[in-house]
Amino acid sequence: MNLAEIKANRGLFVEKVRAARSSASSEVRVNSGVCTPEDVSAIIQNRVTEKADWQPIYQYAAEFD
Amino acid sequence: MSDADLLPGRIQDELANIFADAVAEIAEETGIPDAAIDITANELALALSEARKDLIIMVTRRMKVEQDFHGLSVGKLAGILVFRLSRYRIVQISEDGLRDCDQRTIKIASKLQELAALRFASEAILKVHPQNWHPELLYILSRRHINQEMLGVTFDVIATHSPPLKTISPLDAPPFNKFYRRRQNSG
Repeated sequence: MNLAEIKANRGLFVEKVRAARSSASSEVRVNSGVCTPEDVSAIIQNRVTEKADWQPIYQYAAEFD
Repeated sequence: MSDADLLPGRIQDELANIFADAVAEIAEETGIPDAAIDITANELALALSEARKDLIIMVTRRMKVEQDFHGLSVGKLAGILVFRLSRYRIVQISEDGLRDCDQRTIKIASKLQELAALRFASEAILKVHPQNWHPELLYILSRRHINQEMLGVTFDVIATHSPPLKTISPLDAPPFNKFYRRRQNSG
């Protein structure tokens, strides 16, 4: 709505805001899964069994101050 | 709030141990003497307690706005934890304890806490090999600034695209395949 229209008809403006709120969707389902503390516990107890190579990052850490 | 509480005390205790293990492994692999490192239990407890609150707020908000709450991603979980683990004064390095160390070790020691936070995220939560661009993340964590939301998105991308580490139970089978959804790498 144009600002002049809003000033002239505040009730209509509020109606439009309410209509937008009732139709708005905030459901964005990307990357989900962890719902409970049991999920967190399962994740951290599922230990890694191979050794990762952190030397490249250590070397990077040694190169900046 | 019990349904929204992903980090009750017993899990915070596990996470504290995992973080201390990460510090210890890095120290051993880089030659930082144990005597040069202090881990402040109070700061570590505060960091994990704040992470717990962050997660309660995030989960509660999602429960209220989503018709069916599908949970948080491992990236969001890692992002919240790494943010708090890198903000509090958890790891202190003694200059005197490094007196016999070379310059390389001294420089690594100055970023020990951030390195431990990233290793903690990579191995405890995301289960991925360190990626080539982790170095930039280390620089940002230790010398610049990043917020929880961007860390969460960053780790979501890392979790989706990075080569996975082998784990006790496979990540591509139940029950873990609901947490780890990976894209096939093209090359």
